[in-house]
Amino acid sequence: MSGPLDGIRILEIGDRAEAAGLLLAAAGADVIRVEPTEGSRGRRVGPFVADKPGQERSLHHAYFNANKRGITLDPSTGDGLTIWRRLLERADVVLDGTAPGSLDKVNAGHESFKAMHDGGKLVWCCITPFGLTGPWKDWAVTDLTQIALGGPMMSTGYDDHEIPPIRPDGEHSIWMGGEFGAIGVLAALYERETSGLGQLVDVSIHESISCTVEGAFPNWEYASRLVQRQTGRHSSPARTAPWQYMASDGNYINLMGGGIPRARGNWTDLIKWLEEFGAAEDLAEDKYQQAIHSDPMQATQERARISEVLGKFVQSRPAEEVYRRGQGLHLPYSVIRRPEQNLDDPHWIARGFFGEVDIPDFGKARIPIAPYMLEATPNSVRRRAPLLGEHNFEVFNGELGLDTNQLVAIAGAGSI
Amino acid sequence: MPDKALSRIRITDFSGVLAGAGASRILAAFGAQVIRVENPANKGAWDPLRASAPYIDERRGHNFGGGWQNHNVEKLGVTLNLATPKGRELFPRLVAISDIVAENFAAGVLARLGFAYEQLQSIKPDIIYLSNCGFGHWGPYEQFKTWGPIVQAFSGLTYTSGLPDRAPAGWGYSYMDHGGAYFGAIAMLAALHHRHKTGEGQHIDLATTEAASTLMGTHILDYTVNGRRTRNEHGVDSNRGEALMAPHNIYAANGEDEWVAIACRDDAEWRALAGEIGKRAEDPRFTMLEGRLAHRDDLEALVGIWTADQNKFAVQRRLQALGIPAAAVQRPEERVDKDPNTAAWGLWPQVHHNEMGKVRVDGIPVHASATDWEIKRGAPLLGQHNYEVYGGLLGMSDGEIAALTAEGVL
Repeated sequence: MSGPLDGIRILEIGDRAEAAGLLLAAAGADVIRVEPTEGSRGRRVGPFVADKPGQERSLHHAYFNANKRGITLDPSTGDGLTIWRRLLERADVVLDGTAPGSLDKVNAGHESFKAMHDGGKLVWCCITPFGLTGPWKDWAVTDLTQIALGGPMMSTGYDDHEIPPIRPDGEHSIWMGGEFGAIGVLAALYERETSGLGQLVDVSIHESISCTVEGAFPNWEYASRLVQRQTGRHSSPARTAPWQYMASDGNYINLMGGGIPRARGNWTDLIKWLEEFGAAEDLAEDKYQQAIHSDPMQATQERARISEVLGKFVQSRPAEEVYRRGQGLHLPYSVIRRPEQNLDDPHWIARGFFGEVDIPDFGKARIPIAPYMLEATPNSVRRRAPLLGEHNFEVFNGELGLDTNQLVAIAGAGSI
Repeated sequence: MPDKALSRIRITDFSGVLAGAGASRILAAFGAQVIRVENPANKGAWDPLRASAPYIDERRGHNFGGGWQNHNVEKLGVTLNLATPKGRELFPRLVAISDIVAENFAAGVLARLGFAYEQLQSIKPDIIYLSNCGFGHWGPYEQFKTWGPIVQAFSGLTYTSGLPDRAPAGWGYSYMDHGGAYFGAIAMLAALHHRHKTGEGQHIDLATTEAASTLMGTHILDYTVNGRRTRNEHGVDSNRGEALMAPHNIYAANGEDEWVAIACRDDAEWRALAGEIGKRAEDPRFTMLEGRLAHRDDLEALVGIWTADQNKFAVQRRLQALGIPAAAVQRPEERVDKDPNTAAWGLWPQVHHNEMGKVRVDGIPVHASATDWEIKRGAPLLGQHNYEVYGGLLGMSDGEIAALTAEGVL
């Protein structure tokens, strides 16, 4: 068995459904990525193998499409539409990341499908920048503009507000929409077990981002307070002490909440650690122990002083040492790592977290594969990302029964 | 009223803060009956949000935490002290009528109370057990303490956010508490499918650091394939980003701390933007993408001068009319009170909370045409549904419940 979603058949079309498809494919669904004949946009997105662009060289494509099969199909052509409709009849789910209305313009979208098959079992999930009906549904977007509008940006940046707010790297708008796409699809599939019916699942990326900004909303709704962005720590209505420092080896570390323990035992251990290096200064005084019970988001003189002494100390030690000794005292401290630094981390090696995938013109490379470890049905990399049209014959001939002559003619007309 | 998508599902739920409570909240909105179990001995203080700011008024205490109320809507709330023998006798009765047991304690806490997966399974053979913590339930770091910022720091999410020659900016909130919740919801739903098909439950060992790493597969591949470290000596510029677009940045607009995002995806969009900027933008260096990337500093200074005396929403309107990706960097009050898209979506439904009254909460960014979500009920007060659950579901008498309450079991 390939995973909990073994036997679920998904057609994925359009670029905004890539992450949803990845998450469902990782859980064992048979996801067929439907690409335009010239290849999906992701194939032109870097980085590339050896930095040379090319249809089969994008590492973006390689990552987001592992575990999927791939076909080329243009549903705006007559033959293409016929094949698309036959594929729909055999599918459980469509993950539709195309622009709102664009598939229906060529009679290939959810409205056309509903007109023909109302009451069918297909779950059709659209993942679009602003939902199918929102007033901004036709706006032009990139990840940058979505993160700006949706709120994470105004909460993220530096203490110095002359510096612009920051968009974190990576296509997080696609991830947030993809996570909710997976949730919506799975909830609808579960419901289908009772009703026997599919439904339309409308996922808005803007709305996904807008409800993924933690404290900004409750602070406004409950207390009419605006949170202000701060360097390397939570945005807050009032300025808080730093959490992030450069360690003696040049790596950064994060001392969650300023590094101040909440429990008395942890506090005593922490003072002992500082004293070992002659760095406790005046922190052994009773008033500081009292201060650890105050609200971490409220700045007090004592908390500021503790942070100051702790900050000075950790800047004098290497980052991994601060991380491991701090965690050894049950304190939420971490080294700030580059994503790839965890490839050799003993914890993830022990858990077998990273799997291997084939990269064309390179060989085997390690990638994250198991975002959730379901112990009865472990995740695995079952196949590398598809080459362009790699499974055309397998799907069109093997599953739909089109013969070679038909396929040559259809391909010649540019439909596949 | 038609059933909701998950009306047949019941979850016995210890999950707290956001990474845990956020997952069962989504399933509750789609109709699952979520019974949040809290310890009466400390009035639910294991979850620090229960009594934490923001507050709706001057009242304080365990029924007034704003974040807690936001993350626990549509759930039932019961108290149960598992440190007491009677509490440990009662808990299996809840497990026996549940589909899922979920928690985000530190690794090993529930097992030490006598309820590891094997024990849960012996109570209910097809139980699904979701454990959700930073490093998972086994491995060298299983006892390490994590909160959202630590997950982000360890996994690389912090590192990849910022500007060159500066410290990482990170994320200004616990992005991975949301992410942990979403991955938890996906995993629970996937496990329900597996159970439906095979009759088999399972333990889901969710590690939020692993969920976070999943978001950075492309960065990791760039290293494993090309040997490239995520930051060069000057660091990432995450506003310019990895996309080959210029301009692609955040520009100061008119007003204090007001900003607008602009990206040109191709040469035609730049020509349209240049037409708005006027004569100063007629620079042959900028005609083609290669030239704009090579002279990025000059290009962005030019755009920044143009935006500096304009309202951010005016820039947004003007460029969207031309099909150019442009967006105001919105503040909370703009997103919540003035954004026509979130309003049309119904993203902030109003609930009724028994102490706070009417208050808006985060909705769900998914609308399902036949069995949509609904959020109407506010988060439970501590032990609010003891009679409904222990009496209504388990058949205990009012007298028994009152006695257990007096003994500190409930």
